[in-house]
Amino acid sequence: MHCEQALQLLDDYLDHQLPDDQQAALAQHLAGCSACQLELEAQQQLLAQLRALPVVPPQAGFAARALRRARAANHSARTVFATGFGSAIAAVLLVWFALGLWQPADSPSTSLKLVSMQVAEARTISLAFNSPDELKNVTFQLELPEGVMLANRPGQRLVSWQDQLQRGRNVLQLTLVGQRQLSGDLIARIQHAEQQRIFRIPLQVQKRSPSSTRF
Amino acid sequence: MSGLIFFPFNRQGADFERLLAPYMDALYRLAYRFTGQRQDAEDLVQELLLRLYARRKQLHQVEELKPWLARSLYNLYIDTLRQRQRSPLGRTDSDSEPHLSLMVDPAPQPDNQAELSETEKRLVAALDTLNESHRSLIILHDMEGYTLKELAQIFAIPTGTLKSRLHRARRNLRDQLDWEPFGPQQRVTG
Repeated sequence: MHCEQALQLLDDYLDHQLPDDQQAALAQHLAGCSACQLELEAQQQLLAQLRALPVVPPQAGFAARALRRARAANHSARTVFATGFGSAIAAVLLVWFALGLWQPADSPSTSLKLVSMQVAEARTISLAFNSPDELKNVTFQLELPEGVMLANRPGQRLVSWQDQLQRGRNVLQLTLVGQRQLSGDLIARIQHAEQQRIFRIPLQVQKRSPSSTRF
Repeated sequence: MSGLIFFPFNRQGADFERLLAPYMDALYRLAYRFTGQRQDAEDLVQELLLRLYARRKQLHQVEELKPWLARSLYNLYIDTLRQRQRSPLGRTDSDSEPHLSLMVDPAPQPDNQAELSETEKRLVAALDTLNESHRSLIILHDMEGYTLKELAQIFAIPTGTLKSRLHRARRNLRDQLDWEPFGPQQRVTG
């Protein structure tokens, strides 16, 4: 094999794509030709340098945030674009509360801090429940004030379902869309056996300011 | 220990997140290789996810998700470049695509780009002179390790054609580095 032929085969050699007979012929040539051997090493070094080019890591939490935004933005887009507005940032509000002290079914509710949003804005809130034990057959019920909807359940103000709670932290994520100016409460009821907790989350939907329209 | 309470009508969304979470690192790396900037890479991945979510039912039918996602990201990147080239201002902020500001950041943040040695700057500069087809092939195969079989799926071309194209891309890259076989400059140094 001549050097010119050997050079033609180096790419396939580097990619492990040479048939056995050509591989053997090239190896034989390389063993006796220091110039081609050096060329091969130089090309291997170039590939190693390409692979080693640095990648600046994304901002902390980017992957989870981007996935959540894709979900929230798609839900809001269906409703919000229909009304002629742009979509809005889906902000996350984390509300913590403990379920350690279950109360009788007629107990008063616990009020949480105010959630503000603008008309046509999709707002994702994360409700974090801290449960002391694993609980099965827990009933969740959400009651929305008129003028606020769940992004994926338009027109439905009362939603209930059953799920289970793990011991420790449990997170319920909801995307709300304000449809008109209002002040009202989102009521969340969590019921297990004969006991329940009721939480009131005050919502305030304000008139949309033109400068806030962005993803 | 912690868990997610699934609002029942959010299950599809949760499935979407579970399905794609394992590929987020690879997608971001690829986006960064294409764009060269963190913010642009994040924007590109975010835009891809927005579009994929709308087609999330299809994702479950894809047999090999990694190359399929790479192709989707590549297509979006190329579309965005073309839109930018068509726009007289070189921008892509049309109403229909409000989320993507790919490669238009006039003042990138200092930590948005990697600090490169002189050798690395030469390599990046040489890569940037290649046409997008050649540059993308080198990024996908030589830098991010996609196999020829995966690349054949990504670009929907036969493996033989792909190999020829990859070899031409490498030759062009070496040309840009003033590389001559057996020459004294064959080592890429600053």
